[in-house]
Amino acid sequence: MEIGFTDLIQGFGVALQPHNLLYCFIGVMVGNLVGVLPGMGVLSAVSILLPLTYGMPPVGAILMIAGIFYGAQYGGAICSILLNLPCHPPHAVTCLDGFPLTQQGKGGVALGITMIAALFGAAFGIIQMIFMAPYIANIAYSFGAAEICSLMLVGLLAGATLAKGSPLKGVAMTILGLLLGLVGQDINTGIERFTFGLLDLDDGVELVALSLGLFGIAEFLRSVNNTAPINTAYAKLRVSDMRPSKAEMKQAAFPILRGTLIGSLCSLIPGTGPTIASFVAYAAEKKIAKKPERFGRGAIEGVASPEASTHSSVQGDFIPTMSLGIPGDAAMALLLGALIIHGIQPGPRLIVEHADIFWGLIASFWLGNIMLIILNVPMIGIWVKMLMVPYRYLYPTALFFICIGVFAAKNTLFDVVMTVFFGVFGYILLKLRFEPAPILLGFVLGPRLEENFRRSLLISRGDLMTFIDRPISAFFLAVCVLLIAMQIWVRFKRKKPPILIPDTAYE
Amino acid sequence: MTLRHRISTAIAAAGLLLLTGPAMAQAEYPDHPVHVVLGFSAGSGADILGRYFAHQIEVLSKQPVIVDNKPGATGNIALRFVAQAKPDGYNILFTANSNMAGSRYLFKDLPFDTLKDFVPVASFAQIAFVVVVSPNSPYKTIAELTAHLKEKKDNIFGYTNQTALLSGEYYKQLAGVSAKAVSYKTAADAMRDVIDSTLDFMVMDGTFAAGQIRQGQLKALAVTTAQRSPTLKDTPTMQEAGITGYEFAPWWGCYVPKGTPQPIIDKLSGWFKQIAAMPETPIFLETIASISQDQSGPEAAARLQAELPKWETLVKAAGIEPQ
Repeated sequence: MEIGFTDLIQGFGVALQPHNLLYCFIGVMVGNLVGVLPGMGVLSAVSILLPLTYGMPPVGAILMIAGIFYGAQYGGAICSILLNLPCHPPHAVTCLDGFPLTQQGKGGVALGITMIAALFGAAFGIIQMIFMAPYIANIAYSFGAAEICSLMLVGLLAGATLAKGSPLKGVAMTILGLLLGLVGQDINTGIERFTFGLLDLDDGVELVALSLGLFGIAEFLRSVNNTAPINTAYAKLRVSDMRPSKAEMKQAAFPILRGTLIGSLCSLIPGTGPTIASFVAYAAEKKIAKKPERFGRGAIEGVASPEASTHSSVQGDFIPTMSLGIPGDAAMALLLGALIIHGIQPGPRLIVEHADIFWGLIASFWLGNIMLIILNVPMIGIWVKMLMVPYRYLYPTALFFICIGVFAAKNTLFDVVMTVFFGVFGYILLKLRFEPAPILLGFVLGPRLEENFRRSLLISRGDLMTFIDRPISAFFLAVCVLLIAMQIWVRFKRKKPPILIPDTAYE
Repeated sequence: MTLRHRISTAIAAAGLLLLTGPAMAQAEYPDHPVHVVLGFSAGSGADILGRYFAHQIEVLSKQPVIVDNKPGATGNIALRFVAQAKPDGYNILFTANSNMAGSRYLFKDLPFDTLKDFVPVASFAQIAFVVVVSPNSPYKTIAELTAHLKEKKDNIFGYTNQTALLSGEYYKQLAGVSAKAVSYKTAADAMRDVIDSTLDFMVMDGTFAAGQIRQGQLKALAVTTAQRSPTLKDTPTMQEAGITGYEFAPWWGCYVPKGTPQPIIDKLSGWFKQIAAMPETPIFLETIASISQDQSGPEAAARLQAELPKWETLVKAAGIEPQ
């Protein structure tokens, strides 16, 4: 293949120019910060910075905006692991095992593993972009409505295992998530569903409000009630604790690899961003684990796999955007907008016509990721120290940032009220021992399942066979059947159904 | 006059001064930052467009202009906000005709009346929608597409928003063809289905389509505007392509709440005139496949009025139930 290292070296030439290096640094810095602040999303950060880029040279502008995207992923895991606060939606699933690890005094290790997973996932994504972008991008074209629909079904089925404890409760919560995903205007007919006549609900429930409410606020309410100092026990850890032991590395190695592959696959399917990638990676990891009951109680794999998946997905997301001009999610659509503002037409010829931007961007990915590691590794110590701040100071501060972040997403107070509502609701669920994680899964996957199901039927003129006639879709449906069959078979094989371990140990 | 009297008089005088303060300041509108309210999220095509004009107003008015993105409910959240804002020229709305002319037929129980609660200040940009087909499609003109649609049954076409849906409906109505509408969230989502001819045609936003058309990923048959788009010079209008009387596309205007003093409206519309006259304006708009437009407030109001019946019939024809 003719894409040689000369192009990449030229790219480094572009990215290493002092002003481009500076823009890249500003981008990853802002991104990192945005990732750490609860609720403050990539979209709102870019919207603040986008107007500033109008006067900038195009290469610098693109490097900076791209930096925000992947920079945010580095910050996102920190609050999930240490505070059980999903500051950034793709990292919500990291809470499930990250926070229990912190409670066991292994917060530093979890962060260390996160960094390794991040670097590996990102590096894989970038290498994939260098060598295979033009070929791989075409995979996007083999995923039509029927294929995406069947894939979402796999995700939902696998995801039903997200919950620990009662499977019935897990299914109930997934369905609740699906129902929440229905809120708003139906895109096919424009009919309003579950909006109670409120204009603010027309676009549905805001993901940030839902996840911060269910995890962040609910956790806060629980700790307020529990005046016992649960905190101090696991805050006493040394900075050197963040280096994972050999055994822990061994435990995390394959999950990182699997997560990376899942993430890169998800990035190629249109509309399947890092949030779905991390959920799928977590569910897959739990599905193949020898002892799935360890998950949700501090399994290192439950942190490693989704984190690697998120990072490789974010880097991979750039492939269809840059090589086809087809953005995979809303964040990438913004980047596309930035390209258009600077007079660059995105599309298949971008790599040839604007080689400086394409290769400069790839080179800046390497530099940016290295900067992020340099920024974050020494900071882990500082983040962990954050836990030593008494709850009475730490949580009100976090709540304050949650409010700002949720407000900033759409400039509306309604979403802040929504967050509080879901916080109270999440607290009730926690008290009744319902797991909130499957709600998020149903909420994220459900609307895409419905949208694509109805679209496939419109396209096939109502013929259900379309799901079986298309080979990729048929494959995913077969996986679904297999998943269900496996579940039944396991039940039959063990004469006595396994008595579920009550989660009192965790509480 | 006792001392107490004097003091109270002084206080009253000071109070009067304070009262006249804002009134006097109003004469030199704007004396503090102006907020431009946009019903679209940051980074969207509409946002790029809005920010250009917001920036130019900032230059002309020498006051900071802040863009408030209030996306949601197809722009109705932003409309509600401005309709309820103080009519002092510090909260102005940039929005499209789909909201100002169309929403009354698309929604019921809106908490505002687009014709009664707003005053148009200017119309400043015309967006082109493009009828596209697969690059491998045998049809090169609208006439050929029409003939094919008449021959075949079970046609389907793609759209991303209600203006695009109704543009398709309008074509169907005038050309006498039938086709079912398939909804997509973004034009990018639909690319695959257009390219492999799953969809018989699609009405696409020019901002996204222009680049794909230039690079041969899509074939453009016609633009839905009355004039050709400078971005797609070789693509005929629907009218030129033989669909007599066809014009249906988004155009952007600036609106203020009813009751805004006329001098403020005049000042604002004067700025839009100046911006339209700037040589960089058409150049910028061309990058996002839009056409610069210079219509006064009354002209925009008349255009809205003229468009109302078209929206009403098309919404009914498309079978959309007002929500």
